[in-house]
Order: sequence, then C-alpha cells, then structure tokens
Amino acid sequence: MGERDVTTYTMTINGRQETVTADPRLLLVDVIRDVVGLRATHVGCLTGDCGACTVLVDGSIAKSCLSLGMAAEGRSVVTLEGETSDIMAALRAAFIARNAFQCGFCTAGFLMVAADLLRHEPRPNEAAIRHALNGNLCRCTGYEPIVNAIQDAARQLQRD
Amino acid sequence: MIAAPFAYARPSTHEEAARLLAGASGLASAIGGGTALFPLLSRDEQQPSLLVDLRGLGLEDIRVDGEELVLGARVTYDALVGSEIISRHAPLLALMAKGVTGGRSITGQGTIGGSACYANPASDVPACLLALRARLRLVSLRGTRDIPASQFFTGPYQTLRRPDEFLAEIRADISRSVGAAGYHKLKFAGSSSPIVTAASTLQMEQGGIAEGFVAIGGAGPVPIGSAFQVRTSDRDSVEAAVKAIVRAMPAGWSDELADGDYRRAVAPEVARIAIEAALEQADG
Repeated sequence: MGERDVTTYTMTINGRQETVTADPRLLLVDVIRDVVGLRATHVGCLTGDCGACTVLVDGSIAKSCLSLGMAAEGRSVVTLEGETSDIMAALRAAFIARNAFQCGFCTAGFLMVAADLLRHEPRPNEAAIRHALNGNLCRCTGYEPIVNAIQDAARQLQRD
Repeated sequence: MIAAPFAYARPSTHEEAARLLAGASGLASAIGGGTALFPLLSRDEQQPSLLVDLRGLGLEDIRVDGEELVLGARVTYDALVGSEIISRHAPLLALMAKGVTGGRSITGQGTIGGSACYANPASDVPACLLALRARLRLVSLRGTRDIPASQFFTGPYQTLRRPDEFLAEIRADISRSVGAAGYHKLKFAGSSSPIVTAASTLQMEQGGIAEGFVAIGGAGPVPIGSAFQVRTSDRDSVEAAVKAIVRAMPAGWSDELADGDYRRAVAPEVARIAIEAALEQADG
C-alpha cells in the first residue's frame, strides 16, 4: 500500500451524509476535524485517557481517537456542534455560569459526557457525576465547577 | 493519524475472519473494542499489515447454553453491568465491570475478549476469567479449540492465541460462576491502572464450610489462582488460605507503577479483602 492511497466511505455526521475520501489511516477524530472540518472535538492524548475527542457513535458515547474513520462507515456520528438538545443548552448555560472551564480544550468532551449522563440518569447524585466524568481530564478547573455545573443543569432541567 | 500503512477488513462470518487472519502471515491484529489497540497504533508501537474488525461477527451476546455461561468476545463492560444473566449467573463479572474506570466512553467500548487477548497483567479481566475457571474459544481455519484460562495467559501481554486465531467466545460452568463473589483491587488513583486485583468466588457447602476459589492479577506475569476451603465461623481460616496461595506465587511482575516485590507484598491483603467480601455476601 503506497502512501498516497485513499479510500472512500460514507457516514452521517450531525445528521448530514458525508462522503469521505481520505487516507485509510485516519482515526475517526481526524476525519471529524480535518476532513469534515468540525473543530469542537479535540485531540488530546490519543490514548483514550483524556476524553477531549468524545462524540456519539450510533447514540453511544465514544472516544473518537480509539477507532478508525472508515470503521464508522454507515454509522451516525454526533459531535458537540450537532448536539442541539435542551439538555445541552442547559449544560452550556451552567458551564458558563459556573466558570466550568478555563482554557476550554477539554470542554467539548465534558459537555458530551455530561449530556450522555443526563440523558440516562436525569437526577444523578454527586458520586454518579464524578463516576461519569472519570474518563475526562481537565487541567484547569480542579473539576469542582464542572460537577457543580452539571448539578445545576440537572436541577434546571427538572424545573423546566 | 496512524503512521504505518495497513489494510482494513470487516468480515461478516467466522470463516471469512479466519481466512483473513490465515492469509496475513502472522501480521494481522484483530480489533475488539479498540481501547488497547489504537493507542499502540497511534504511538507506532505496532505495525500490523491488516486490521480485522470483529464487529460484524455478532460476538456481543451473553447467553446460557445448558450448564454453561457463554460470553461473546465483544461483550463490553457496560453490557456485563446491565445484564440480568450476569447478575444471576456470574455476579463476579458485574462486580468487576462496575469498577472499571474511564467513563461510559471506555466501558461501553472496551470488551472482555479484547482485554483477555491483550493480557495486560494489571487489567481486571484475566484474574476474573481464572476465578471463573473459564475457557476461551479460539477460532481459525484449522478449527476451534477451547483453552482454560489457567493456560491461556503465558506472560505479560502474551497468550496461547496463535496469530491466525481469533477469540470468539468465553465459556464458564455456571456451577462455578454462581454463588457469592468478591472483587477487590488496589489502585493508586481513581483512574489509574490497578496494581493488584483479586477475584473470589464462593459456594456454601454443608456444615458452615465454603468452597472458594481466588485468583490474583497483577502480582505476577500471569494471574494465579487457587481453590480454598474456609469455615465461615472461623475467619482465621481465610488467613491460612491466603498464605497458602501466596506461597505458590511465581516471581513478581514490574511496571512503571510498582515493582514486583511491592506487588507480591500487597497481594495477600488484596486477596483477603476479596475473600472476606465474598464471605459477607454469602452470609447476607
């Protein structure tokens, strides 16, 4: 296989059918960022530890550095840009109100994981929130404001 | 992007997967969940010529087959936690899976078969499979063979799986996987790898005697296990059982988190806690 080989496949990203013609060695996160051009999903560690690349694949939360782009052929991927739910709106507002980020590099991943948690468990206690976040690293906040923001968003959604 | 070039295939039958592996001159890697494989590929530590994605083979089932519990190789940690069959027939696996960190993005992606084949001494799965005295079903063009967990793990990151074989199923006798279970692991931080793990199963017998089995992971290059008998009225017998197991332990295994001597030194206490937890559950 030469270095200039490309492969073509299609997947749905944020509800839009995308035909990807690219190097077969691209990870899913590379396809999302560099082929489709959606930049909310970040590359942090490439080891599955930091969670900055978290997306939804066929509705399941996944780290997009741990799979190939072409393995997502025929699947449906949702990134932060495509998350238009009430849950995400409440989380965004709460993250801003609580200063739940500083540099922002990890934020998309935290929002994706928090939204996934609240979809499955609308009223999580603090332990459940911290458990849900333990695949995501933040080096600015010390996590406290992130946990608080998710609690606030959960309460807000209960009121609505 | 991954540095080294490779071909990618997503077979839809066992035979097709076996043929792909057989034709790759030992240079293929199977993709289970990908949580262990892709970091290696991204760091260019492995350069397989072919990646065989097992996703199309339907290896995600958890079922009972007569007297056996059968797990597809691609059963995820989340699937273990959510399974009625597991909570009824193999509570040890539910305990283990609940303690895996990394969030749902890891526990929904990482698989029990992938962890077994990767054979990281510090990971949770190998010792649990030994405690259940499970068998690992390997498939190739040459046929199918079942390897007991006690033989499958041959060293750190090494197993009896040959390059042309893939793991299809994990099977355990329900008579050994039901009953009380205890699981404990020593970790230095919430999201770090375990240092030592211990998995215990226990079946209550007549006259206050419990027949147990404990397996210890991370203390040596491969998980080690031993059957034991304890009197439920006499917890000193737990101490005696643990001492006998540790005497039989092979040399330690070292990595950047802890050296072999440390791992061996903490193993008895980790094992004792797992056995006590199983006894508590049997009492309750």
